[in-house]
This record gives sequence, structure tokens and C-alpha cells, in this order.
Amino acid sequence: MALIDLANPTRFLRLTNRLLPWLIGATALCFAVGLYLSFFVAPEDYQQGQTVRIMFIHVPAAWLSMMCYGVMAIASIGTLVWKHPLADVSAKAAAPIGAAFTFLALITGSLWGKPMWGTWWVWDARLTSVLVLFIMYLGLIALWRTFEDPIQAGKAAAVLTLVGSINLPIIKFSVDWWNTLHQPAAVVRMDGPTIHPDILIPLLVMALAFTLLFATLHMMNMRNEILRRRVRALRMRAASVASPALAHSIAE
Amino acid sequence: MSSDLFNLSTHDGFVLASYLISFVVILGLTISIRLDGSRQQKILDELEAQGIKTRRDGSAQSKRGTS
Repeated sequence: MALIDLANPTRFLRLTNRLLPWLIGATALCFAVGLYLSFFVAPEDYQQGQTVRIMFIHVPAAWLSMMCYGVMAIASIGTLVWKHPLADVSAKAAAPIGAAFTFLALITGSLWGKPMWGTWWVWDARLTSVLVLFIMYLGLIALWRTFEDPIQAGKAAAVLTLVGSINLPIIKFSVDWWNTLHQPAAVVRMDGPTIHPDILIPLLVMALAFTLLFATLHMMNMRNEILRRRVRALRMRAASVASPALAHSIAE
Repeated sequence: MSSDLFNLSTHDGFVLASYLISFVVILGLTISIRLDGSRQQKILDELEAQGIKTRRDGSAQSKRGTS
């Protein structure tokens, strides 16, 4: 199947029905292995003690919060430039998942910050830029709900998403550009990770589990959105049969 | 002082709360997506049971009927 074939929502639905059971299985397996490694194999940190285990969910959640917005930004280009029929479906489906991951990154970061920094929250560049990301997700979800027509909503949301994507490099490099309480990058670095493999491997397995979870939920939510649009199309059709004038006014 | 600062029994609650909240949020998100899917599928089935079809479905059916 060529990539262009996926532009057809019916073909996409058939593909999701085939792929989802495998994705769900792989996600469950990865979480089982990742949680086992996180709790029973990874040692305590010599300074942070048990609290280092918060990293195994905080860091993947933070990565996914940014990756999810990246997916939405690429989908927005697909909406505005190529008018791909599934692009705005993908962007809309990703927004609530991204909001949930960003919420988790903020909450687990706060729960990690209190015992390590002595405070739940500081208005430093990293924390504030991630909070802005969370607010942007909520704003995009609200924008989608404001419009009756999903095509119009998709275009407006695509423009806002692309404008907001300027926040992604700010989040990534905030710890380098400004003095922050948040530590600098320890895994994705030009000179390689600075974390010991005993802690790095469980972290990477958990990151893979979170990524598979995102792929699973995103696919499920895209399927829901396609069904929602079919329901809308059928209702419009029913209205046009009952009253062509009413259907015309709904379409407008 | 450092042994007090990194007392495990004091900090276990933070670790537990992090995993518990993550579990609840992920479970809630998964359930809400599943329920939404079931709801949309149910509405779609009801509409199709009433004989309502999109223009494309209708034309495809009539083509099949004529051929």
C-alpha cells in the first residue's frame, strides 16, 4: 500500500483495524518491561535516592508532549499546503493526547521538584515554556470546538498550531539560553548521554512505551474523528432529503 | 543532614503519587477515547439502519445495481 492510499479515510480505517491490536500488544509489553526495569533493575540515584524513579515517567511524558505538538505542526502543513484529507483529522486527534502528556510532565515535574529543589514550582524558562505549551493545547482544543465546519476549524487550527510551534525550540533550548533551576539535557546531547546505562536503558524503554501509547491512542482518536465526520455527512444528507433549503443553510 | 534530606520513607510518597496520577490520567484518556469511538459507531449504525447514505454511497450502490 502506497502512502498516498492512506489519504482515503476508508482505507485508513481498514489499516487501523489491522494495526491496532498489534500496537496495543506492543504498548502493553513495553510498559510491562519498562516498569519492571524502572522499579526492580534500575538502582537508586546516589543523590536523589528513590525519587529518580519519577524520571522514568516525567521525561517520556515531556518528550511526548513536544513530539505530539511536532506531529500536529507537520499535519498543519499538510492541511494548509497539500489539503490532505487526513491531515486535520490527525492534528485534531493528537491535541487531547498532547495535552494529557504535557499535564503529566508538569505534575510529575512538580512532584519531583518538591523533594529535590524544595519547591513545587518556579517561574523559570523551562517550566514556564512547558506551561505555555499546555495552555496552547487547551486553546487548540477550544478552537476546534468553536467551529461547526471541521474544514474551516482545521484551517484556523493549522495556522495557530504553526504559529505556536515557535515554542518547541524555546522549550528545548531554554535550559541552555537562560539560567534555570531545571537541569540541562542529559540524554539528547551532541556528545552522547551523560546518564549511566543502568538508568538510561529503563528510561529509553519507558520512552518507547510512551511513544507506542501515543501511536495507539492517536490512531484510535483519528478513527473516532473519521466516524464523527461520517455521522455529520449522513445527518446533512438526511436534512437535505427532508428539506433542501434547511440543508443549504446548514452547509453554509 | 544529607541522610535526612534523602530519607526514602519521606520521598516514597512523591514517587507513588507520580505513578498513580500518571496511571489515572492515561487510563482516563484511554477510556474516554474508547467511549467516544463506541458512541460514534452507534450513531453511525443507527443512521445507516434508517437507510441514510452519503451521495457517494448511494451512487456506488446504484452503479452496482445497474451493472
